[in-house]
Amino acid sequence: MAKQINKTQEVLTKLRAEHKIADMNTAKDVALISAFDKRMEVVRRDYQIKERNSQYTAAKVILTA
Amino acid sequence: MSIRRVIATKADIEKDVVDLFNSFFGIDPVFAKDVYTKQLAIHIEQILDDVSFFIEAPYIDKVYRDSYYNYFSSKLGNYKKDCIRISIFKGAITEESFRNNATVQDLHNSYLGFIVLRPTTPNIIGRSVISPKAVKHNGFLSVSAKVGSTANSIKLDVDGFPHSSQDTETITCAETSLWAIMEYFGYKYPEYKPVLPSKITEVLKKVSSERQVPSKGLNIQQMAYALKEFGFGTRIYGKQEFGAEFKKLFSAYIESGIPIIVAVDNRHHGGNIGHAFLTIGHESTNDNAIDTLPVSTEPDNFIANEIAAKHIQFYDQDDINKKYVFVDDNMPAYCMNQFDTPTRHYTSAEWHNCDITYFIVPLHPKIYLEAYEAKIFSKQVLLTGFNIANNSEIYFRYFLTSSRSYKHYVAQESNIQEDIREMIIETEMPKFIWVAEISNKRLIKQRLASGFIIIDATEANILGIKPLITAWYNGEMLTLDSSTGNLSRISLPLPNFFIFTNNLKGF
Repeated sequence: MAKQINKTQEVLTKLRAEHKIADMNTAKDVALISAFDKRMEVVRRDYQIKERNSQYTAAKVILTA
Repeated sequence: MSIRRVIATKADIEKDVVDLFNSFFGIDPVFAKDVYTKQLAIHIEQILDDVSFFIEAPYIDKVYRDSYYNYFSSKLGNYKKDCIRISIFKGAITEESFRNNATVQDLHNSYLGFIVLRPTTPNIIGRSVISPKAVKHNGFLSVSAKVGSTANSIKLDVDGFPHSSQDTETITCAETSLWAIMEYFGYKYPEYKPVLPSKITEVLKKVSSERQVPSKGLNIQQMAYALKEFGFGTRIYGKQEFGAEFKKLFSAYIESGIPIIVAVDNRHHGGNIGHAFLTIGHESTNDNAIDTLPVSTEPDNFIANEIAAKHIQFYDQDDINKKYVFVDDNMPAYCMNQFDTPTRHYTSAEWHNCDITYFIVPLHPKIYLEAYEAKIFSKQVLLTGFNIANNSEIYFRYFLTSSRSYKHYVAQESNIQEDIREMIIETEMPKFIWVAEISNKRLIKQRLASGFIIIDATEANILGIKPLITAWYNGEMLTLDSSTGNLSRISLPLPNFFIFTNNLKGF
């Protein structure tokens, strides 16, 4: 007979029964994620500028040696 | 004409090669000796002393033949079309070794690669693959591909990185770097294939307004374009643009086992050198390098403030001052230097003030999240997602790998208890993941970590913590359900575990 293996479900069911799993959906959690997103938006803009400028300046560097 | 075959040792190879230069390339013996001394001797010198060479001439080399038919044959000069091949074996070999079934297996084990000599004097070093095991200073970690060859009609394989010198006409340093990187990826992964010099010229036709041969070199954007055309999701990083992060990003990609093209130049010092070569690995990390690693200076303000507020001793492995392994077409394969002095191995002093000013990363086209964003994302998850005590010490190690390779490692990492191991293995992951391993100086010296963060390298949308797959530190696990977007925090201690070292086969 085929045997289904799903350790994750077994462990999570046990941990949930022991109240060791917390869903991060409280107002505090949402605010935390929202703040995280704001910071990452800045990081993304920063990266895009650096990446585009790298491309632009790289066009002027000739490699011959 | 029959093929001439010669067995030589390091003591007598010069005489044999000079003789072959004269008889097959038509070079005057005095000039042939000069070419040997100036071009080949440095390559032979770096090879172990207890080796034998099997030399065959004429040898038809696919790369040189491509240059010959597309360029050299159209000149008035009498350019030869054949090459000489030198195969390298550890220990002594005899003529009979190649024809006896029992000793042929020994040849497979002792084969250390080959060097092709082109009739393009003075730049005679052609397509070569030498095993890192063949060189005297072989205590380094690098990526390599298994390349098939033959010696005396016996099929053999060598694990090494492709190397060639530039002929300065069909291939300069830029084309040679492109050729070597495609040769590596083509032999290593089925989705890529090696390219010949004429293919590089053809691909760049669309972005060239002048004739391309004889080559006058390429600019960095042209090199990145060629890689894109060959199937990569190329990224360019500039020193001036990325500032303090430039060196760290370079280190992260090398730690990920990705060979990268490096541009060095000294124009900002008033010189006129602009050169390209590859970086394929680094020296092993010793305890002293870890002990002397300074606290990381974080360019991201939020991360810097969090670290300062909690008085965290935060160490970033990418700050370790180490020698990198370069494949430079002006030098023998596997030369090593620090990031800040990449051309220190040149004898000519004018090269010594060259800096790495750009690097080009040939990323898999499905890696949408590159190192800069992914690394800041990981550090922010660590610092905001977990309760880190004041005055903690964190050693942060960071790399890209395939989930296949990572799960293979997890499946065998017996320090992690079985149910947690199976949970990680059962976690849905994309083809490529960014992994941050969290440790401290004491643990990392034992090659141990106490936590990790796994990021989806195919998730370009960094909002909503979407790239997070799972993170585990300080007895807690953060996990994001990719179908619902729900984030959960689970109390589940993780024991210390051995770090992942499969990218470069070492630490």
